[in-house]
Amino acid sequence: MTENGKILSIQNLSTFFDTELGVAKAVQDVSFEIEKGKTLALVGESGCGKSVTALSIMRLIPTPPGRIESGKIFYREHNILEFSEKQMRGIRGNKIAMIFQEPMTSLNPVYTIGDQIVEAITLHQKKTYEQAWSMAQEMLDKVRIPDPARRMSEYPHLLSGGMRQRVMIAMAISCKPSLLIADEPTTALDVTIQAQILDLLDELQQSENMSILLITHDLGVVAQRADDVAVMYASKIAEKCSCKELFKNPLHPYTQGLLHSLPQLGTRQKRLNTIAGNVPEPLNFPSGCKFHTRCPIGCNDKRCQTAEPELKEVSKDHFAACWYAPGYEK
Amino acid sequence: MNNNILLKVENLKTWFPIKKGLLRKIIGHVKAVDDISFQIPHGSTFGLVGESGSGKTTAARTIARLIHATGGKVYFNGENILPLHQSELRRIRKDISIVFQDPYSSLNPRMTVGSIIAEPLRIHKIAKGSELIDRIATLLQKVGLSAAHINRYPHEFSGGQRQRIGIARALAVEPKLVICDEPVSALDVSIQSQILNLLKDLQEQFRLTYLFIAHDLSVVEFISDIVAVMYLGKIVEIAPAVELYEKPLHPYTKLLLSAIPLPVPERKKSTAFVSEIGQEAPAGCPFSGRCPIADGFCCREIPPLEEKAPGHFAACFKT
Ligand SMILES: Nc1ncnc2c1ncn2[C@@H]1O[C@H](COP(=O)(O)OP(=O)(O)OP(=O)(O)O)[C@@H](O)[C@H]1O
Ligand SMILES: Nc1ncnc2c1ncn2[C@@H]1O[C@H](COP(=O)(O)OP(=O)(O)OP(=O)(O)O)[C@@H](O)[C@H]1O
Ligand code: SF4
Ligand SMILES: [Mg+2]
Ligand SMILES: [Mg+2]
Repeated sequence: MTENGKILSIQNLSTFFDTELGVAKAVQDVSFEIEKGKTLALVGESGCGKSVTALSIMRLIPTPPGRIESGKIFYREHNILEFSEKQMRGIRGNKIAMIFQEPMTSLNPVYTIGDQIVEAITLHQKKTYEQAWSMAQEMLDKVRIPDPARRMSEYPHLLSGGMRQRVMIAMAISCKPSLLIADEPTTALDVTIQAQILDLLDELQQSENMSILLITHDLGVVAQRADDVAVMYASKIAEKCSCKELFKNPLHPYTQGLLHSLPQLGTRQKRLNTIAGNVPEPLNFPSGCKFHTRCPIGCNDKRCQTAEPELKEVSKDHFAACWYAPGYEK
Repeated sequence: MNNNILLKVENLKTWFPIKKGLLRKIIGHVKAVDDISFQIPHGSTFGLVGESGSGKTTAARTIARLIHATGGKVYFNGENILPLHQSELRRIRKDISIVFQDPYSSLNPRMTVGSIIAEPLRIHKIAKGSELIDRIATLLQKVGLSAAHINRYPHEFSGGQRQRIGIARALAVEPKLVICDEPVSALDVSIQSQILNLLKDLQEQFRLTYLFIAHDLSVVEFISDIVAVMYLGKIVEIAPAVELYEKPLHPYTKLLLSAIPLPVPERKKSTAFVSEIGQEAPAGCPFSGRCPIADGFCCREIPPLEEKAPGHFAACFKT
């Protein structure tokens, strides 16, 4: 059971995929909570399991090959993993809405933009077609699509990448969800429109008390919009704390490497810093701490190579999964 | 023509008809690319930034001869490639490759990763048999994936992994010009940095030339020698990268630079400006509808792209 202020509480979520080569453990033992009206940013390396976590919340993991192996996902006080598909349909797109990472995968190429938003609206709200149509047009205007009346009758392939992304955003917020899962919502937008879209989400957050799970690799966006941050690495959460704390006092070597890799504007770097080595594969995770192969401390450390550190609270509200994080009880 | 120039674009226009009614009558045009000119020297990187929907992807696809140009010229190695027939395009296709913006829709879901990357190599008869497999494996490693991925399908990968498959495919044929449309926007910073370093290394090694489209201005600054800024189908500013970032001239460029979210917590809400995107492109300067310093003249007349300092062009009456 969750307390009053939490809209979402994920407990020990594990999601696996059965592949020809074995079981890909894409998400393991992930826990986090989001309070009403707050934004939690989920960051981490490409392939670390962010989208799979999001799709698990939406109950949209393709099964087979995927399955939610274990864990609980509480939306308010309901464990939605126990919901029937019918119950889930009442929530999905309505109470919990998602902006998908790749717009073209979720926009239907044979329907016009207008029809698709209208459908999203009428599915959950009692509106006539005409009412929904004008609401849809209003939404397009809100996400700053120029000439929305014309765009309503266009097909997705005629839109630019950023316009498609904004159509997705319009669809997702048309039902005023209480939880919005935004998977890389602004990657195709220039910074001025990005700022406007994020402001729009802020507004909704304030007027409707909407909560946001923001998946992004843009640490600038994280810094300015998130209340809390969870950093994932190779299927698990490596570090979790308030946004301020993360930038001021990153404790996990992976988080430190990430912050260090940022291109610095105005410095004319010859080369960018990177974290040496490659992201491990779910089918082939290293032993011990999954980061040890790339970690400046762990690469030569027996403990790191053999034993996996759990996520523990190392100081108030600051969690890390690293044997050498200051404050970590071994 | 200066033979140090690999790509020269002159007055390029790509307009799409707007059709209406049962008879699909053409009632107007979306001037997606409207009279742009620029050139890219051999072995350098030309960054293209601009507002969403300003025509960057359309320009890129027109240059690669994937969409029909309405007007203008595109010289590749001194030869105007716009009039070339389909049959003559094959040699161009090997020299110009493209990394697409939307990795998901540009990778055939029914093909394995190996065959996706092998396809251009086979078409252009560059490699076969075990040499082909070796090459694919090397390419995958270069973009931070592994040879073990060869037999897997695109849907089994995350967004960023799919983007890297697209990069590997584009580099497979050893092109001269690589058009990168948002190649790193789906990647986290550490992989992004790896890919950008890789693109730079390959450039040095093979003297590659890049046309690089991106929204992340710090990425563009890092990779580019020259940067052009697009707004509503037009180029509003072109300058050497350093200069553009230090002394932006066009009000839209200034707006862009000021809106970059910096990774410093609590600088919340960078949007100190109000802006409305108009229904139609205004009659005068394309930016006049949003510009903080526009006056009546700006709204009526189109400012020409003029050289305001050596190598630094801007299209604004007030700079
Ligand atoms: N259908 C599937 N079959 C097998 N493996 C899968 C499948 N879907 C995802 N995976 C694997 O699960 C892992 C996590 O993928 P996910 O899409 O969650 O990554 P991500 O963190 O969102 O990355 P990105 O930032 O690149 O989008 C990846 O290693 C991916 O290869
Ligand atoms: N095939 C088409 N038919 C009609 N209009 C089109 C077509 N392709 C693109 N457009 C329009 O051309 C304009 C420019 O689109 P383009 O994709 O080039 O923008 P972009 O600068 O790449 O934007 P983004 O940064 O959002 O990807 C948009 O208004 C778009 O709707
Ligand atoms: S546990 Fe060891 S290997 Fe893992 S991050 Fe900490 S120091 Fe590095
Ligand atoms: Mg993802
Ligand atoms: Mg584009």
